[in-house]
Amino acid sequence: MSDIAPTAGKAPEMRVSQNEIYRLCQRTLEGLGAPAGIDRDGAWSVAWLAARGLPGLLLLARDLERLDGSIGPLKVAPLGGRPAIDLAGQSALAAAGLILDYMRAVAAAATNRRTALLVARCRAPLFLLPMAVRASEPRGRFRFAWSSADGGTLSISVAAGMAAGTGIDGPAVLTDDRPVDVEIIHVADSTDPPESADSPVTGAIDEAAMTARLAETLALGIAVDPEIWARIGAVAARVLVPATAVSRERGAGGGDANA
Amino acid sequence: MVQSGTMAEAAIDIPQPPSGDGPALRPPSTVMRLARLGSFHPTRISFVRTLVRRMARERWRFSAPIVELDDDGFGTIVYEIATPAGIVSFAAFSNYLAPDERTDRVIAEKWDAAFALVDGRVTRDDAARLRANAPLQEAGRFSARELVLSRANKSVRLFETMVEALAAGRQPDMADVVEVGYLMRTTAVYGNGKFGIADLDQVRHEGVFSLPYQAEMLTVYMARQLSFDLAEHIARRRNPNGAVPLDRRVKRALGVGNATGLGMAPFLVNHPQLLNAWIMARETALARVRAEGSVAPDRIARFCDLLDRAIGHAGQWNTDDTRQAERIAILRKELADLRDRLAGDAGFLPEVQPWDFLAAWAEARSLELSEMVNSLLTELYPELVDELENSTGADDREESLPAMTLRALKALIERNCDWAIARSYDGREARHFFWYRSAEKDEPRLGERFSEPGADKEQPLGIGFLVASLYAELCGLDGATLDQPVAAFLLGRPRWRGIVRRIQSLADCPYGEVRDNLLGQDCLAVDLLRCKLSIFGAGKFDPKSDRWTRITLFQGAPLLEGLDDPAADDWSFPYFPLTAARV
Repeated sequence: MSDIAPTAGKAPEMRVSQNEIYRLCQRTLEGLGAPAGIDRDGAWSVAWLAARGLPGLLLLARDLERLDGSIGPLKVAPLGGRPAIDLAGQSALAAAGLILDYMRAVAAAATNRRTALLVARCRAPLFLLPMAVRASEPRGRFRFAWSSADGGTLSISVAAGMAAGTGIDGPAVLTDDRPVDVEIIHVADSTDPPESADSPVTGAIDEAAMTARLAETLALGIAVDPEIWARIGAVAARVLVPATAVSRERGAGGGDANA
Repeated sequence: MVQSGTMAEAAIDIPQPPSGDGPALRPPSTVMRLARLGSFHPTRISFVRTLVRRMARERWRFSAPIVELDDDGFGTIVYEIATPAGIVSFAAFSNYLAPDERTDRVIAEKWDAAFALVDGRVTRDDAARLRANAPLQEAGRFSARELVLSRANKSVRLFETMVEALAAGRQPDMADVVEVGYLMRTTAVYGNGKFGIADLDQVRHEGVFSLPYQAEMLTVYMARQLSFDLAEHIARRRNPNGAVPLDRRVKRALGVGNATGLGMAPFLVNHPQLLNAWIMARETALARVRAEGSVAPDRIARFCDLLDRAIGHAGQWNTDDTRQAERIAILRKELADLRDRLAGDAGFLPEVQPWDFLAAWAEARSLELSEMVNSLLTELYPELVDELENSTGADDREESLPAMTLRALKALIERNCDWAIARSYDGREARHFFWYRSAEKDEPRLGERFSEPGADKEQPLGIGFLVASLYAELCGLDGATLDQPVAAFLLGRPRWRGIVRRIQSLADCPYGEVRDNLLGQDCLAVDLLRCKLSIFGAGKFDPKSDRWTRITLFQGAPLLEGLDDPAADDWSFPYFPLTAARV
């Protein structure tokens, strides 16, 4: 089931397809001011998470106001002696693709094919996961970790299009609303599978579990919280333009002839 | 931590377009122009053709386990289709539609019939659920078992006339049948997760539909069968003892109409890898035929037979659209001229590579003729062409190449996007149109930038303009900056992420872009529609404006009961004699 926190314990009230999530979120991000390309990255990430039972829609809905009009350029600057990108409390949703691609470029130029980057004050770091999975195919490895307010830490290893979580990956850390610092390590050209978990995980970030949930949501649709869906949809509606008499006269959308 | 080494060292080579030892393909500068794409005709690897061949090859079996229709033909029919990969069902719901509610516009809310293609068997409970939702279409909710959702209206010109004739014990006037070409006309065929139906990955996963649009085309084919069954049912109820069934020849002449508006146009721009795959398959087919060295006389005779039928087809292709009517008139003359040359001049076709000569000869004439001849040529060699249907799919995922230097990106644009950067976008006429999504059902629309509101919500479909704008910015960068990787550039300028990734992703997709300015005043959106519809296999293009067109699908296609006929696949450019049908 998608959106672990809001739907836990409740019967699913509405099921949608991955494509519906993608389409809605692409429009939503566009409505929030995301440039073309960034909107697709984000929409794809939300749908990817939701299809695997992870709270993509919830994290987007929660950050709608913060994202509104503030999706812009990123800058690499040293922080505590390390290269860093300070998101200043912004969601990773719109930044993940740009950040991971930057790391891929840096690692490709490095003699040891490795790089590390601190993403400071990052909300919703879970959005790094879909983009990391995508960027790790067919070769490449990412590892990143963050901690939640209750002291839990989640470390995610991604390689060759697969992911494995280590530590705590329950709702507290997946949906923690605080900005966190995330250390990302990237190794280019690795084709090894993700590093195996060395401590128990709750099962959300587990390749086999995610694959099983994906099969289930493909077959049954993705359960969503109607309230969250409506909130996101309200922003998506910003990109629509009321039809004009001129457009109707020109026959856009098909004609009226009945012959 | 960043290790030693510079980003410039990581500069990667510009991806090279595919090359091979195969026959020469036509260059994208020829093929991917809007005017030529808007002159395409169906080929034997169009989706309706590949579906019909597959149904025949795999011996699909059809039955109707649920038929609950009243005297007026309102009610439910469920067809079951048994394929080697499993059962799918076509659930159809026929309803009364008041005359004032009948419209082809996509924003309509009621239709004569609504249907869903469903994975597996449809029980009566399933049918009840679908009956409550399918007629609502966009306003209904569906499950991942539904693969396709669609609706259709009866032809006011033909349906009732047809029923009256059958009830009176006679066949309809063949001239009317050919003139209209269908009993029902769809106004939308939805797939890929719309309104909660199955995502494309699920449709593919189920195994029956691994090629693009096969589920949608099966839905339309079954709508054709539904239209026959409804007409015959109503006629029988009106006159149980005297009504006659539709003659098979009449049925063959009937396809399914379709009214297609702008909703289809942005698809080609938003799915460039798929477009590339479709055009690549088509061009590869043509190139293989053109490369044939010497040709046996029976092939030439076969071409002449196909040409004769195409001449008949063009004679039955009518439209009220002035521009298209003029094109058809020229086409008819050119086809006749070609027939005369083939019949009267034994030396017209050279002995070596005659089809290459013929294609070049046609290319020097109208676009309609050129593309019709190309389609006819591919009919001659199923053994060279048919396997290309397997390459019409594509994973549409765009991939970035973050380590590519800006210098390499600039060179890539110069090599692949010369069509975009050579054009001027100054002046109002160059940016006359903007594409947007209408608040009416979230449908794509075309607005006039300087006279209509909404340009602030423009969709990024003016690819040429975007590429040229990016290129201008790259040209303004200094040498050191050009040695930076694309990813570093995009961190500070994220507005270019979409177009940069597109350019990179299409580096080896020569047919991925429509090489015209889709914002320009001279852009005819209907050309985009015809391109896609021809790839589906549509014919009898009948534009109703520069933004929507009528077409017919499956006209001339074999019937359910005729799929086993070895000649069933021979229905390109169908022609229907107007002699009275057999009663």
